[in-house]
Amino acid sequence: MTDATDVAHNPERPKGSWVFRCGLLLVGAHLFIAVLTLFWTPYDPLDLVGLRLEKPSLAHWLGTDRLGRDTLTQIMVGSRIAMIVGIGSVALGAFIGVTIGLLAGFATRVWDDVLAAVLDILIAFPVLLLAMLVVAASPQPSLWTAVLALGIAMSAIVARLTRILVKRVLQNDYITASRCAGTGWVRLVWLHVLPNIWPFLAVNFALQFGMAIIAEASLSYLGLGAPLPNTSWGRLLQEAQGTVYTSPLGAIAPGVALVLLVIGANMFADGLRDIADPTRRNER
Amino acid sequence: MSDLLTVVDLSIRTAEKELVKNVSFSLPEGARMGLIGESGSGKSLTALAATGLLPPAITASGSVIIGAQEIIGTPDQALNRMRGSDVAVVFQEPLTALDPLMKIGDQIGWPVRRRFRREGQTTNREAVRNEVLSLMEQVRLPEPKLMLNRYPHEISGGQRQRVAIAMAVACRPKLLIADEPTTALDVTTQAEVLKLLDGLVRDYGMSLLFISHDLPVVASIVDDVTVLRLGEVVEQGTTRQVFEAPSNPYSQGLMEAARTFDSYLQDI
Repeated sequence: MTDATDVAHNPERPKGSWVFRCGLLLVGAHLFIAVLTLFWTPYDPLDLVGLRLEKPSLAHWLGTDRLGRDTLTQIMVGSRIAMIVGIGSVALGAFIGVTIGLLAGFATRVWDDVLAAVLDILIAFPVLLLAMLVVAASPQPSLWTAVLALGIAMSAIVARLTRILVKRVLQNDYITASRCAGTGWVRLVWLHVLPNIWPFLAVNFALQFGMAIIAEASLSYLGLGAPLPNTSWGRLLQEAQGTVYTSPLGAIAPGVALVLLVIGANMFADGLRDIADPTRRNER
Repeated sequence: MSDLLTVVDLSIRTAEKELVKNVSFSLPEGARMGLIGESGSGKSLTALAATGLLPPAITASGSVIIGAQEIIGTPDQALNRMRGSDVAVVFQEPLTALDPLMKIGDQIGWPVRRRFRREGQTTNREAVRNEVLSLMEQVRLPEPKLMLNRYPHEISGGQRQRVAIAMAVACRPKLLIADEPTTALDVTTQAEVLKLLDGLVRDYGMSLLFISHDLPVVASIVDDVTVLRLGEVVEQGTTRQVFEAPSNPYSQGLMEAARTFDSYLQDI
């Protein structure tokens, strides 16, 4: 069993290391809060419920911002945007990227070379820069332009990864064996190729989820993300910048929320890789 | 009897090197032929060329005709209809020839489903499952019902090869190509798998192209042999002729080596 594509096939998979469980817990907690805010928040996120820049108190655990809005409420609501952008852009990038990657993986030599060259050029641009270009090209920024922009920007990486994985899987005897038995291309992809490349793609998606959330915060910080009345951590950071010396909590709190979620996503991805790859299993 | 497989002047080459040179042989319907030779003699490539499944970097010229269908130069789409119904292959390494993520029942089930559709039969779950179970019994897989839900790595090497044989037989091909089907197995299992292949080929009236470097194995199952060396045919004839009185020095050497090995085994 030296072939790297054979890795994910042991049914006695470990249930996951502590890294994996921590990651799951962090991401899960954010997801829970995001859903919770749909039904309940301590205050209305846009209401001026206190004085300006209040210190933390029992009424306002993380204080209030420069307009007197509750910081904790805003951070909780902010996880909603993070989740929507993270999941939405990864899903979009996966759909576009896997489709292109499959086409390239199966394409004839010339088309494959053309696609590979285009992908390499796209990958040479930083994701954030590509995303800013897409936002700039759209008529007005909204939540969905951010999702669209990040999804498109990340799809090139997914496409290249898929292409390589497909090429490797296609070299296996079981593909030849299956084609010998008369399996058509569409069914070949569905039955053999996608299941065998999925574990590797999943790890990548988990990493990209973290990347997308940082990128969205960056876009919002620059004023290119989801506009008001959406509350994004990036915008909270930007707004707290002016008062960071007098009331640092306004900047620290959304930063910590962001970092916890991204670390959680990375730990989740790391644990997922350990589960998918038995050669790394003994390192724990 | 008409010829089921006709190979005329088959040459296979990469950009740099000619791997198979002007190989010709024919296999009548219901006949069994052995293709023998050392590693790298072009046996497996010849088999792959017969199904039109050579890797893209390798090109074939000449003619390979199965039934009435010319294989070389025919687009993949057209060949796909022929694969399975006219020809099926059992590969050398049973672990890599099975999809590691697919249950045994499904691996055998898909070719069954395709054959049912081809023959206009109903392809409902129950019918397919029954056929799969019956195939598993024919290839003597133990506890077929439990086996349905196993994955390839959970069963033994011999059992995997039985699954691969069941998949090939599930297609009901006119021609079965067995590419060193016993090489990766231990001697006891080899004998069982050979007996199984022998019986199945007889029961279903398939033709057999058996590829091997193992002379006793070949002698036990085929009627005619073609000896390949460095991509060229050096000798053709009935098994008896070639084994008892090889005319070519290379075949003579092969037989001599096999005999020496046998007597060595008897001495110890």
